Amino acid sequence: MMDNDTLDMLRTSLRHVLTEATNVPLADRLGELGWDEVVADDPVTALHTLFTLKGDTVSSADALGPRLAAALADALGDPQLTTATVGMESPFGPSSLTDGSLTVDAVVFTPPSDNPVVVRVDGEHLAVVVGSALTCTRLTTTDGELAQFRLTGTVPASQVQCIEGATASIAWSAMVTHGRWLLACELVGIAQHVTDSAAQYTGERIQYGKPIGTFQALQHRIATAHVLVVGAARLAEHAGHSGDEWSALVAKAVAGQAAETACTQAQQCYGAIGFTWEHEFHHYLRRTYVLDRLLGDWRSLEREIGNELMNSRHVPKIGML
Amino acid sequence: MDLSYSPEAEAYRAKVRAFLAANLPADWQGLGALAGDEAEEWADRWRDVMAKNGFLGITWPKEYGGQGLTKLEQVVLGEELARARVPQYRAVDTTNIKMLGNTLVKWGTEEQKQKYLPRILSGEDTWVQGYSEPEAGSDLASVHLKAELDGDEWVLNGQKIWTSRGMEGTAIFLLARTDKTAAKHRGITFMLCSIPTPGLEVRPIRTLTGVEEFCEVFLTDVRIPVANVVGPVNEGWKVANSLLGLERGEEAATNPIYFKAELERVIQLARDKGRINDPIIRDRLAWCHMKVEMMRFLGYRILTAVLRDGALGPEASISKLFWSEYHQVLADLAMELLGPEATVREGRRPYKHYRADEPGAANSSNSWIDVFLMNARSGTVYAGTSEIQRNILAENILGLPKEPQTNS
Repeated sequence: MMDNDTLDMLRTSLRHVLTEATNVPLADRLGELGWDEVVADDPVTALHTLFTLKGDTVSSADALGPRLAAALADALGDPQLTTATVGMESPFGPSSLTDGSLTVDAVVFTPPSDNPVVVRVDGEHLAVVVGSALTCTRLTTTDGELAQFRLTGTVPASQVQCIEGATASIAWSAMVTHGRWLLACELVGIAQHVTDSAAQYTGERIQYGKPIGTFQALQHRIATAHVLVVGAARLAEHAGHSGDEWSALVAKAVAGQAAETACTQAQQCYGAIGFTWEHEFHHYLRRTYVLDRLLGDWRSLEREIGNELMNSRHVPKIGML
Repeated sequence: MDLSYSPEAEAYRAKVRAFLAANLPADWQGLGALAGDEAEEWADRWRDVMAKNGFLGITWPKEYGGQGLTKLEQVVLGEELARARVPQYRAVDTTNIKMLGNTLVKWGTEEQKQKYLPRILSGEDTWVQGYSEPEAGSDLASVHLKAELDGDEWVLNGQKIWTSRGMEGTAIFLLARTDKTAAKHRGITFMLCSIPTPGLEVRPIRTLTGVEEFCEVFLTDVRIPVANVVGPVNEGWKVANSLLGLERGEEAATNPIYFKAELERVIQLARDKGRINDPIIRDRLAWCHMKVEMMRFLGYRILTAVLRDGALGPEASISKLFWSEYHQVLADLAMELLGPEATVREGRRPYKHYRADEPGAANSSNSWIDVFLMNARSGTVYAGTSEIQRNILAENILGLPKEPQTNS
């Protein structure tokens, strides 16, 4: 386990790495920090810290892509897949494998080169294909700064490695669980930042001769956000330590809702300045909506939680509860 | 509540319908069916058609280019235009005709009315609003824009902000501090200033959707003739408030029509996305429908009060709070229905950056992303935040004790 001093130093270094203006890929910059050793030593603390800070600094670096590949490679016991690009659900349609060819439609954060691309086909199997066989187009996104690319193409089955059945499902679930935990951390980072920043702003902004933070209407808004943020942060922490599917599902659902609520409350506190490009808030607002929609938005996850509770007829434990 | 219209008003309705039938294309779907510059150009042309046929400023006296009609006919006109899916005028005419024009009719000198009102209707002049300042938002009465009398001119120094469509303005109406020693609400004067004027600079502000909708206005030794004061010196707060009242009243009839059309688009979106049988979605759609119906009857109450007493009743504050908070829920629902599509911008963007997107708009992700990020979310901030509306309701309507921290 990392001690507090080491953790503080790590936070400082990561904040620098996430905010410096450079074109060097995040993985290379993390490499200079000896990141692999830090992760090997205490993966939960290291990744929790990275993704929470990524949310806090609204960094657009692709940290998630490599983690999804690592989780998938680990679950499948195939080290070659650590360099893979994992395709996420595309708004334009699914990928499918029919009559001897694979049709790909997926969204990724970094364009693949000649590394493997893994996509989920027909909602069950996994297909692995070389990235250079696909067409990659940058999307105009709601976020604007977080790069997203659409991968499309049709590839003959002879060039596709297909992973089927339970192996595929189990590996994909493990990856989704890992990804949901990391996204929960990132959303918590956003929610914390936005809530703290709104609290600071209302303490400084003067109307009617007083800081607007003295008005209870705004105090209650920030307190409302804070309650959700604190709850979401604890669930995200727990999801990291337990590593189980249910905890990650609950953590992601709560974190998405917390970030959305924090943004809504904060925006009302900022007033008109919150609708401008010059204020930092819009980055956090738009990022929230994109991250929430990765690997299941909070409303869909809530439904999943409800279905699970009704089907299993018992309430699963979270932590010591 | 009396929902019946007079025979005169019904006759006017028939006239409006005949005009619309003669002037709108047979396959007209609404401004939302046109994209970008096309919508801007169409709205400009349509405004000219409205002006030439005497459908702008209809309650203004005939000698200033109006039609000398009543507020009831104004309501009928608004209803018919909304039903026919056409705008009343360009977006900037909200400040130009609705706000400044109506204020001049009420407060302007004979000379001001003769000089400005016909030019507003013809489109020669376009007036934009200079109320808010960086330090005067919710607390609008604390305007600092300094005005000092020098002979027969006021000399202005300071800044305005959130001027809607400021780059289109050929003139600006301003609230300036003319008496620093008077109580906050008493030392303000309403003034007119043409653009360009030496010392006045208009700079666009980029909004979070990347659009340059609002402006900042900087004033350095700007000289305004004393003849450009509207209403009495130091009573600009009263002048401005009568204008904010006008901003609320007319919307009562048209808001429910636009919001109903928008809800129908969301119901279509639920069908298109295969979610129409989802009980949670149906529940939320039903909730929205009930709110729009409530909005309609709230509107009738407001109209009845305006038409009977010539004044806004307490429902006016409820109305702003009601539709703006409703609209955020509706926009959330639309974004949820879009699903992963909500992360990718595609299709036409809305013509205006407040309220519902135009009738006839396709359910493109760009329409809903902008409505969600800008139109719906800003609704609880502009023209009096939800917090201010609730304060008014609690303190002025319900008679609760004033918040101890608020000075006035």
